[in-house]
Amino acid sequence: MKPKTMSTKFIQEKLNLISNQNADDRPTIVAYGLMNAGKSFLLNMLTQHIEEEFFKTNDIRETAEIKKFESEKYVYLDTPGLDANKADDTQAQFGASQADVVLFMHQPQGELEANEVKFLKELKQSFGCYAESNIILVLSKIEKEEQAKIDQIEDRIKAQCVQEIGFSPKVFQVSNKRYQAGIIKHKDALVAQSHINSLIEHLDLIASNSGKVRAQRSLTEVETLLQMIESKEQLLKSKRKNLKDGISLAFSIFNDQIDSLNGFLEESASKYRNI
Amino acid sequence: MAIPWLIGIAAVAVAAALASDDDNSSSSSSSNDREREARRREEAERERTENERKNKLQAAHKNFAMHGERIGSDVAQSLQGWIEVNFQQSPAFSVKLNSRGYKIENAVSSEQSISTLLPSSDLQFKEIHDNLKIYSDIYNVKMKQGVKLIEVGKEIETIESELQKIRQLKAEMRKLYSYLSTKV
Repeated sequence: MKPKTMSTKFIQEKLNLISNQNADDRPTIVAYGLMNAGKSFLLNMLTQHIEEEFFKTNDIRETAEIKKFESEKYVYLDTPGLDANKADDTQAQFGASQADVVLFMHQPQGELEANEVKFLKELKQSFGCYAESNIILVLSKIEKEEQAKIDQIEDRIKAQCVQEIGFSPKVFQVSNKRYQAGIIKHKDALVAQSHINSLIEHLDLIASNSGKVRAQRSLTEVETLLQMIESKEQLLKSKRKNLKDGISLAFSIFNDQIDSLNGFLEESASKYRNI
Repeated sequence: MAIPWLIGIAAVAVAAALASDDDNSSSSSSSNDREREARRREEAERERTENERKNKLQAAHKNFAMHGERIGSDVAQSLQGWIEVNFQQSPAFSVKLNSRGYKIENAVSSEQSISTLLPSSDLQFKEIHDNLKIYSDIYNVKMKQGVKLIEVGKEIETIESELQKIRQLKAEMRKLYSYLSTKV
């Protein structure tokens, strides 16, 4: 994550956030992706808000801020759609910076778009060696397409991840609608076909390393912050030196005049003694 | 017949002797006159020399004071904008020459007030600080920061405050880094 400003206030806030993040042992799961990719819907299913939604869903842009839900095991964050506007992107990036696990949602309209690839690259960099385990690609709304097409899209986005981003994340095909309908109507088959429970199991599996992941990512962030602040420190020291040198220069004529004055006093005294 | 001749010779001898005495006493009185004249001339010469010396000394004092005054004024000019100089007396130049050299009369500078102009602890400004003290001692001036020095001072203060925050942040970061390193 690249902060927009280098003020000490901003850096202090980031530091406080990192400290606080590492104080809570619960893994943070963040849903990330383009607008209407199904992030809020998935989070409602994962947090068992089946009939009454906690995370607002709609066809129009609903999520403009990061919304948080805390369960006993996890903290869930819903982020604004990446492509809504710049402010939303910043919010989304902020959310991803807090993530121990990222659910990167993609609708099965086709391959990954350019801005999705861009964000995935940033995420991968942020997660370092934990990128493949802790960034999960979620193909949502699979009920809308034929299975063959879904599989084709999955293959394509996997290839894109390898070729354009340089990693091979795990991909889950999910249907929030099937899960919701299955739970409400008590239809186990629908629930099974949603693959939501498989995703939940996988999340439980990787949650065990979340502490290390978080610490590693935090270390990287702290290193970056340290570099930033040292750079700022150098800049300020240089500015201070210039100002002080300016004062020295401004008084250089004065110093010369006092030297001359001292010389005048000595010379006058010497001549006076010889009169 | 020899006696008159002897008398004559004696008379001549006496006359000659008398004439010699006369010569001696007139050269002695001239000599005294010359000596007196010489002493008088010497005395006059001493007096003239002394007067000349006194005049030179007076001129030296006068030129010294004038030149010193001008230097003080020139210095005040060069400090304009940076240091505000207020002369407390006229003439301001308070140094007097004497047989041992010179003396600053009634030096009343305050070390405390000079240290408020520039940070005396900063080695970079030591020479300026010392010279301001000399100037203050010699010219009995009151000084305070000029507009330019106030502005620059504020900028430096802001930077120092920011650097202080940065030092604190770095300490926090190092502590957090150590803690996180134990968790990976």
